[in-house]
Amino acid sequence: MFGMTYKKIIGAVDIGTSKVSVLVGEVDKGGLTIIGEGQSTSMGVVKGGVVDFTKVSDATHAAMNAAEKSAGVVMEEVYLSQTGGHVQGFANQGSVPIGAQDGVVSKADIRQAMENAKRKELPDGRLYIHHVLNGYLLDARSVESPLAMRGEHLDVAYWHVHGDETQIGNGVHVINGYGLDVKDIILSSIASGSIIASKEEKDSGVLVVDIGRGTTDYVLYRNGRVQRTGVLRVGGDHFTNDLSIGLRVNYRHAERLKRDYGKAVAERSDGKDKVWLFGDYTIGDRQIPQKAIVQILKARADELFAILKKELSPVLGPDALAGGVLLTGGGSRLPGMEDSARRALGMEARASNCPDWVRQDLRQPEYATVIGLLYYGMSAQGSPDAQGRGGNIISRVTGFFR
Amino acid sequence: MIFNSQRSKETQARSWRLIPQTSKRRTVTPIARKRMLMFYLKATGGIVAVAVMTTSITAAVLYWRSHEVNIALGGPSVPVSGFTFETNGFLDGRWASEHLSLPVGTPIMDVDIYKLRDAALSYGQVESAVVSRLFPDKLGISVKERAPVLRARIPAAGGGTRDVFIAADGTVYHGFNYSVELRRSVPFVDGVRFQRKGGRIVPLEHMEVAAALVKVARTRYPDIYKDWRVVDYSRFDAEPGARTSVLTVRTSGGGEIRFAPGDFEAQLRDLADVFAYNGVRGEKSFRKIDLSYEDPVVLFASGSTAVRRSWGGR
Repeated sequence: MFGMTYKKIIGAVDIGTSKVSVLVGEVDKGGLTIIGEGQSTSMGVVKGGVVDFTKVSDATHAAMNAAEKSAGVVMEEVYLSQTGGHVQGFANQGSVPIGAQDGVVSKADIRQAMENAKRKELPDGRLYIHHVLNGYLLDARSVESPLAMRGEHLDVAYWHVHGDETQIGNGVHVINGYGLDVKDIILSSIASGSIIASKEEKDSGVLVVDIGRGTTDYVLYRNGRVQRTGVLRVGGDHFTNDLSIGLRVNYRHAERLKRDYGKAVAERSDGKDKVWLFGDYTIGDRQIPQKAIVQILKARADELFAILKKELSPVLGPDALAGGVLLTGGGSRLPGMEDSARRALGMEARASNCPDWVRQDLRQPEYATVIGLLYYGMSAQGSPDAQGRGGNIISRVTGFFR
Repeated sequence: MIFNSQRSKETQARSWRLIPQTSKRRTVTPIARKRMLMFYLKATGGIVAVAVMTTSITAAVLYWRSHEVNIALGGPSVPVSGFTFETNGFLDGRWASEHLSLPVGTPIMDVDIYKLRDAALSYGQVESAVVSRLFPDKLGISVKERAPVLRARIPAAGGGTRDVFIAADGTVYHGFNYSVELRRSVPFVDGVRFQRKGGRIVPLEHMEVAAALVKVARTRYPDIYKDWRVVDYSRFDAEPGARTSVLTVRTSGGGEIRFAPGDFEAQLRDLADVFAYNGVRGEKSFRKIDLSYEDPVVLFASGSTAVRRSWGGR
């Protein structure tokens, strides 16, 4: 009546092992504008899993509050990332014979095949997070879209992602404690991949590896679709722990040595260069060859990519991906990680940041997941049903009191 | 969706969406408590403000009108580098490029997507169209095409003739990218008048009747349908309850089949029975089959006498 425009304030929350990142975005007909951000150091999260609910709530609510303050508005709904060693996936197909006499595939056939694929029961305590469409097979031929094509048998392939009910519930209830509902949960790797990899790279095949502090998340794209996802229980913390044990220094000093002198590949000069172990020149401080640090970190990096290669070998096969490997996440900042990945996986690897249209200060690899979440949220707002709900003034008012 | 990810609430297996979000199991931190308190205060303030506004509504409206401003919201806008095109039919990217004059190079936020959608809809073959911005730099065009029910041969502007197609809603259009096989499989229409208005052919009326007949025949009785050459509207009367209204189908063998406008399933079932029965008797050709009566009436080509047989009726 008054020419009101559709507008929604959405939040993206990434509860990581090292930090909680929150972005607030304003979605309207013109697109997405990031209007607020908040970050807090994470507590109570180990390897992506919640181990202390209260501490996680404190850290998350602090970051959400900071983000709302910087935006000057309150969030209406939240998109939450999900990672952790409990997250697993499996491939499954749904099949259906074509019902029509003339063999033309209808929407009902496709819907039925999709539902058949999603019907597989999980063990107790497990919940589905995603059903990722992998593609269609019409009479065993791969097709982009089977609708209105002729055939006898339709298969729809999915990659199903599921996780531990308690762990997923913990994340949801942390957000609920702030007075908001979780609109959707998105796997961290899918969120990162959606923003890091371009459409061309996804079409030609690309592996996005997000090295976080507690876990390493990966997503493999082929033919423009998510083909595999996974979470490795290895992250930046393991590199630091290795240094701490190997050099017999505490975690804080090990983290400093990793940040200041760490590399994942050995160079000739490393043997000559010496670094101070504690760096404060106090009694007990001594010089050690940089080579010692590099050797420890290199071994861990090689192991990380070797595990990744083993996990992906059933789907990767002998062919390298044309799009190569894109490294992101805080762990990818360690110099030499690209070389290590290139050697272990046998394909081109490079560090990758968010695209140029993302604000300069948010292009760091640590933000890839949370920006991907927001991007997902914006896309979800574009769907007709979401717009229908969003435009309802009653739901906005009732949402205000939640 | 950007992830090609499908979530379904109808999924029978357990999804994370089963987690109750109104659960008592919440840890409300001081920060969250403060936020909720602020919410209630703001809500109270809002109610008070509404009450004040109600009492001074006239003045407020006058004030609002006199201070109306346009607020321009700016944001990063990248030039359009390309587009994606999806259809359920035969149009393609070449058509989109030629017909829609896609504004490649224009900042994505400056593109009038509604104008593009209207341009797509102005093409008769397009039934519905959705144009979307695919950030950061692409446009997405998704169209649903009309399906051809009948075709007609009409005079072309530059002399000669050309084929046009008629959809179920009567829209007359050129079949872009239609294959020769598809064109040949569509029967001609007869007994209708084409009229032009504003340089376009006015949609034909009552085409939904032929569409229903053709749909049943094409999907359920393809062996019968493949011989259909013309659907004739000459004897069709749209008046409700008209006694003599029939659609006449002329076949490649020179035969004629008459259908009453309704319950085509039953009439085609009778027709299939007639063919099956005659096939057994060796009487393969016919001059006329009238299915508009309760029992089909068949006039065989073998004799000059009309033969009436009953196949049990409908």
